Amino acid sequence: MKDLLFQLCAAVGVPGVNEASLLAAAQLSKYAAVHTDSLGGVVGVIKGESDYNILLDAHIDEIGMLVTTVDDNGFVKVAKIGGIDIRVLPNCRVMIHGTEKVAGVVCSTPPHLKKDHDESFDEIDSIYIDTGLSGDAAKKIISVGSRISFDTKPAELLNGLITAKSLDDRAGCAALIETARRITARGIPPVTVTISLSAQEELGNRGAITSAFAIAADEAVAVDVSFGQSGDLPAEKCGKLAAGPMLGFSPVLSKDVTAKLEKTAEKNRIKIQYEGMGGNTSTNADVISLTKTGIKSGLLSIPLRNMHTAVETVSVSDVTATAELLTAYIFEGGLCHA
Amino acid sequence: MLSLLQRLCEAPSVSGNEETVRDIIINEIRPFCDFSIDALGNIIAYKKGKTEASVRLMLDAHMDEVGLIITYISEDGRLKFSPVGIDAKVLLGRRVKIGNIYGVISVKPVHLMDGDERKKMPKADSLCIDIGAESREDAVRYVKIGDAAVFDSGYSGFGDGKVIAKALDNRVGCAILIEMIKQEQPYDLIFTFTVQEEIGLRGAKTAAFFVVPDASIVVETTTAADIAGVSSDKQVCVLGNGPAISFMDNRTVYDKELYEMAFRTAEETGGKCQPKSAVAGGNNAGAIHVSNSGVRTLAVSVPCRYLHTASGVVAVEDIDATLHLLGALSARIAGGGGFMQN
Repeated sequence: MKDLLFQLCAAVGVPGVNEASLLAAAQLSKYAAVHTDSLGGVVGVIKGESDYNILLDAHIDEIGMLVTTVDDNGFVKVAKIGGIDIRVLPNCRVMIHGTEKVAGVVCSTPPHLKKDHDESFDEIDSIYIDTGLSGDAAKKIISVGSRISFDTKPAELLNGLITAKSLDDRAGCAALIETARRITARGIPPVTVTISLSAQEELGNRGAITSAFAIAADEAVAVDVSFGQSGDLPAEKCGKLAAGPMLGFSPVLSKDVTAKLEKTAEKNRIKIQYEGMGGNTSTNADVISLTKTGIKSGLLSIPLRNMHTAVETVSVSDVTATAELLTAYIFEGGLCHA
Repeated sequence: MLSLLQRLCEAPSVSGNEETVRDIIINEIRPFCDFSIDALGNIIAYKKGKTEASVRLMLDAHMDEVGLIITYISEDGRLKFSPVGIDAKVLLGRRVKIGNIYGVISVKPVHLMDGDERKKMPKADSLCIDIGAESREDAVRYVKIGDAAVFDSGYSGFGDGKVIAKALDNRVGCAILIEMIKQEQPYDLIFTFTVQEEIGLRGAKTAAFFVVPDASIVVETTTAADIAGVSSDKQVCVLGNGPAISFMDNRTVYDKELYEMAFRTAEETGGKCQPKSAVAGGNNAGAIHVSNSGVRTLAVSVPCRYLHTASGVVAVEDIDATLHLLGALSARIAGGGGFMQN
């Protein structure tokens, strides 16, 4: 599981770069019939004994940036793709995806130019990336629109925690690929399972809107990440790492799916924690539930620290537990016989 | 020399913890010179030249790097730290290593903050390192108070003819001096690889007291602000224009004759150098030039972008140009040619 997570996170999935989706498709196709949808999402189907179709969704895209100008000295100006945290950008190592990959580093203010008491970070439109290239060389490789990703290799912390870029939501993708593996290892499931690793979640759940439309699902479970407890973060908004997936409760989520997930966890002695939200969940569950005439949707979130940075952190055990719970849920038939 | 530079940069050696870099240096120079280690951990190396020097010249490079010192372990297993020589603004979200243990400098999720907080620097004392420990008891099995954390940002080629890495300040200087020791020198030279520069030029103070040089060249890196958004009058020095020669910084007014000799030597030997066009920063010259009864001192620095961060950038041609200049300049000074003749 750790290897799968490391591989998925090392690949880049800033919208417009398909490394991560190609890798995920290759992994998922070991267990499911896979195709790619028109927005760049990956869909895998595992036929079950019945046509009752349970959609399991995670998003394959990650936050990043995009080139807006390349100047005559090889420095690049950028725009955000998704909600990247600007506070981690000064001196951050990045990869620019031009006609070839170009390493870059975000410029930081030299000490002699710092103003006293200057404690605010530059907005994205005044940030430059240094490519180390001359203007001419840079312009040959990089153009307006070239995508930019964090350049960090995954690493392991203590107690089964791992840190990497894009664990939001490769952690969810890994959980679903593992779910597919466990399902096929166990035999033909009672219901049909459609796994959607959807595109452009970070830009407003766009990939899930179209993929859920294309998939005639009878119910759905979205798998995303949520805030992991750390330091003095508000406990009511966070889950503990290594304490299992967080089961979402929200008016937009189906009480039936949520109750069945809870029951399944209890029955199989899988540790879960609870996450209450007053309305939208800021996950694909928000849009999947509104697809066509409506789809009953549940939500499992993997607790994650340092969201939207290059050092996102999760516990591998939470990813595994999510796969375990979803596999059990599928073999229970979801709400099929409820 | 670049593979040596890579090994030097990747070695963890925050001030007070210079052992790893010192071992690499000793291994490299052992066949080429005599050396001793002083009480603080400085290496003092004596390089025999073809001829005895008429001016006792000391070339210095510091071995330590900026980093973080662990000062406290909280009950929930997070590590508080004191930054050694680093602006807190480049710390958020960086990955670090403490020995073989990985850690990350935690970041409060942007989603859980209000408007202004989202672009404000958190207070430096609120920052902490997460190593994944579950509790203080868990953490202390791996980390002790006083341990140093270094940035986990590897060395690699960058752009055209540049390299990017942590600790280029001042492993670049170390690599250049090692190379000089390996080369044949016309005159005897003394090389010092010093500790604790980043916390107040401490190693150089004792090394210079011991060596008692007539003259000294501090081989360093210095801020190059030749980046987008900085006007040319504030750039200090420019990558690719050769070593930056200091006339004055916050610690030292440099010897005028040596300053001019550097430019003359570069010109006469077909090399290049540039003035460090700002009065900013400071280096071991500050300790050396006031040691004993005073030492005529020069600083020759490889221009480095993003000094004192996890990832600096230098140009390989500047390293070569610095080595070239130092070869000629040290021979000229040590040989007494036109300098300090009584």
